[in-house]
Amino acid sequence: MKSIPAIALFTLLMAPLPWLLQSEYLLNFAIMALFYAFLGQAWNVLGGYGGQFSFGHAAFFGTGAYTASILQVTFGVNPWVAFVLAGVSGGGMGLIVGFLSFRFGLKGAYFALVTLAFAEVLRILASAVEFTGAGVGILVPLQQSAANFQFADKTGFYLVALALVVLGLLVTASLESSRFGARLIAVREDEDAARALGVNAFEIKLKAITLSGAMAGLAGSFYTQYFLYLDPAIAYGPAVSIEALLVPIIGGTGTLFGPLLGSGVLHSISEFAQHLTAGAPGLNLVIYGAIMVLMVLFLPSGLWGLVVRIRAKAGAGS
Amino acid sequence: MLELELFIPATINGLTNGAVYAVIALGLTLIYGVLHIINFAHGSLLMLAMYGVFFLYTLFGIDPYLALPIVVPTMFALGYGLQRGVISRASHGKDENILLVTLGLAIVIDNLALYLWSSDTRIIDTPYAFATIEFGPVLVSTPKVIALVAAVLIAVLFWLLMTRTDLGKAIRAVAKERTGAELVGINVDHVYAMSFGLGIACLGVAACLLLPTFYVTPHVGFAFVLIAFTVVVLGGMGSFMGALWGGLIIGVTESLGGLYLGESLGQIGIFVLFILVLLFRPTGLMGQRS
Amino acid sequence: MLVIDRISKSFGGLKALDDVTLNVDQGEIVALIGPNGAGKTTLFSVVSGFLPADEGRVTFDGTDITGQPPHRICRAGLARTFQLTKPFSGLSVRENIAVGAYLHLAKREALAKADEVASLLQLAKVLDQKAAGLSVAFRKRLELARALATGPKMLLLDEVFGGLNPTEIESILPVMRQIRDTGVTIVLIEHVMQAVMQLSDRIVVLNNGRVISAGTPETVAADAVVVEAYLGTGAAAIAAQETSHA
Repeated sequence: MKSIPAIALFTLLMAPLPWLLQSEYLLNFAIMALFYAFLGQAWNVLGGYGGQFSFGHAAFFGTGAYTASILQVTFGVNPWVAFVLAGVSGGGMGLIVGFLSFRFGLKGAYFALVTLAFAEVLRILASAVEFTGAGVGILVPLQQSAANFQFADKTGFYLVALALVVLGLLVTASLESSRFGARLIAVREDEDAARALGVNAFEIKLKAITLSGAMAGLAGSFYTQYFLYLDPAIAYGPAVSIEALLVPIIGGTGTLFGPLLGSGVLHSISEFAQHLTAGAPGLNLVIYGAIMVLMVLFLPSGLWGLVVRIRAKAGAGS
Repeated sequence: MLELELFIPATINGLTNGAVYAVIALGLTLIYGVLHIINFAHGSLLMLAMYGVFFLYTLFGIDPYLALPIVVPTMFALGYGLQRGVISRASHGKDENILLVTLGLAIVIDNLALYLWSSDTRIIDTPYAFATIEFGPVLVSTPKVIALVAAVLIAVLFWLLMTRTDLGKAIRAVAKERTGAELVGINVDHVYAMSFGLGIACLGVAACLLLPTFYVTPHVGFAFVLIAFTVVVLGGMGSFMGALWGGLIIGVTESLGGLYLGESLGQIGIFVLFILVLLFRPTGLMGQRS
Repeated sequence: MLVIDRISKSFGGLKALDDVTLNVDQGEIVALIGPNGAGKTTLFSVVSGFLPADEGRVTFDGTDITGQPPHRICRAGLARTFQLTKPFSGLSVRENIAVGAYLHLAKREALAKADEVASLLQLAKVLDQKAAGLSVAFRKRLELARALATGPKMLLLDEVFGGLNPTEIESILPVMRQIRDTGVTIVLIEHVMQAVMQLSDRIVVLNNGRVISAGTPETVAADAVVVEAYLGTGAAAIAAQETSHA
């Protein structure tokens, strides 16, 4: 795969960061940026490469988060095992939502709406059912050890987050170079033309949403381990769904590094804005939303598209 | 379980709530029917209008019903401006971009409200807030009756607008055949903006009807937009009568759901209905399905 | 090879296809012609699985394919193109064609096949270009290339010559014969009579959803019913008069 050198370089540059930064604050920032990048990578599989815009990715994220926390807290399952199972459950939810939506031919805005509705249904269920702790949520007991997927030194979390992002990069790169990925992109570009060429569009989209859901589920589990607290609003609320799509859309949908760029830029702006306004709620998202509107108006291919254009111009000029 | 004493008031309550939902959905129906865009910012704009009504009352003492002549034209202008200035420029030939732009606007408006006015619940205390009217054995809240009457009035006005006025004819022409309309000299951009403006003006009406008995927080936008979509989808996108009936059905569903399943779980009825309609309703939905 | 048996299809009150029966033998080039709105593309859509028929059956290579989904019909060996071309805009020409080749081939062979098909259709020069920027002529050839890359037994081509100038048409004609000589049966919807007359072994004429004539190019061209379908009632008589005066 042609992107392997770039991914390797990225990994090499990012791996030593905790030891270079020497600041808890910056390390936390890096962890969060990587976490949201991974969430964005999950969305990107279905939205960027598959062209199906989900407005309810929280449905998969939250399912993974609840799976991980309930397995740990109620059933005493090892958190690392719960982590893997969270990915499975996220994928399973993706399969369900995808099967219903695509079986009934939902596309475009209708698909976006139905994913939103699914996330809301899950949120309401989670807040009404004792099994998920109802409105109160779930508190994961503090028990720091590597075997317990809770790290006293944040470096551990950073390395896991980085590993997830690298996983995301590898998955995305394989989409760009595989037969499955080519068919997925074809379905995105023109579903009927793809079907006329023998592509089973339903099956392809279903696989994509399952993969996307699985990744989001893993993200949900990571969140649980990092914050040790989960409630319906956090797990299934619109905030997560919005972040999941903002990051790749601003960074550049359907590109390898788009979600990373999007997450890095957005969270840098966010930190900057927090300093200016002493942490007033809502301002972050106002800025994010404004950037998204401006992007769609003036830069639809996202920040990565801008990078590509600048590189092309530089190449043409030299 | 089916105690009539609880069932009837709940149903009537549902009908009056549903009437307001219908007004909200009428605007969305016009916007979808003409511009074929699904306006994700609809709920956020309603929330903005509601804050407008709130501040007009608390800062200037203007009664919500009397605020109609201020709020409605303002919302119309806002809608016109947004369509002409922002939304129409977003398309670049792809439908997804309109989706994203209206979502982006919703995010900006919702969070601007959060930033400016915090998430405190705001209510107003009008003298008639608890007045009731008797309908035989049942007492119905006066503001809610007014809302029901207003909703029917708006639906009739819309129908008259679309069938009796020149603007209405132009709107229908553009909705059916954009290029043909352009060729006969209709200013399509203006018609689009007028349609969007009218759709948002409905939100001004809804806001004035809601404030006497409801509250506003920055989060109501999100709650209302989903309900509005459910109504429109249920009623058949692009049908005004459908929006009216859909609103009433959804209002009753919500009310009865709350009665039988409790406050929080009751909400689920709407979204489950929404999903079911999206999945199963055949070509009552226009456009993007095929 | 392809047996279309009494296919009917209505849209609301409009009967787009009325009891259409049509056979295509292996190795033939059959042209499907008729005035606009005759139902030709609708027939293609029904045969290729994009539209369900109201009545009738379609049999391909001995198997009943009526009502099957498009991707399965393509896998069975029947590939179609679209009248309004549908390129995968974000992908390069090579990647576009490869999507077709992926039906039976793994990545490396598919890309090689894409190059091969592109050379055959004189698309080699634009292989690395994004499909979005292509002119109509190139897009038509890309449609054909993609369908060909699936390794079909039969091609349904919808106005593949539309929008091409005479030189371009002349250069594609031998390619079409070459494709047929490799064993692919071709059914074309065409308005460009130059191509129809030179290529087809047989012509079938559709009007108002019905087959009104079928036979060799010479027979069909002389058929009064066909002349009247295109030129209106009475035209056949006038044409006959003119030939007798000449």
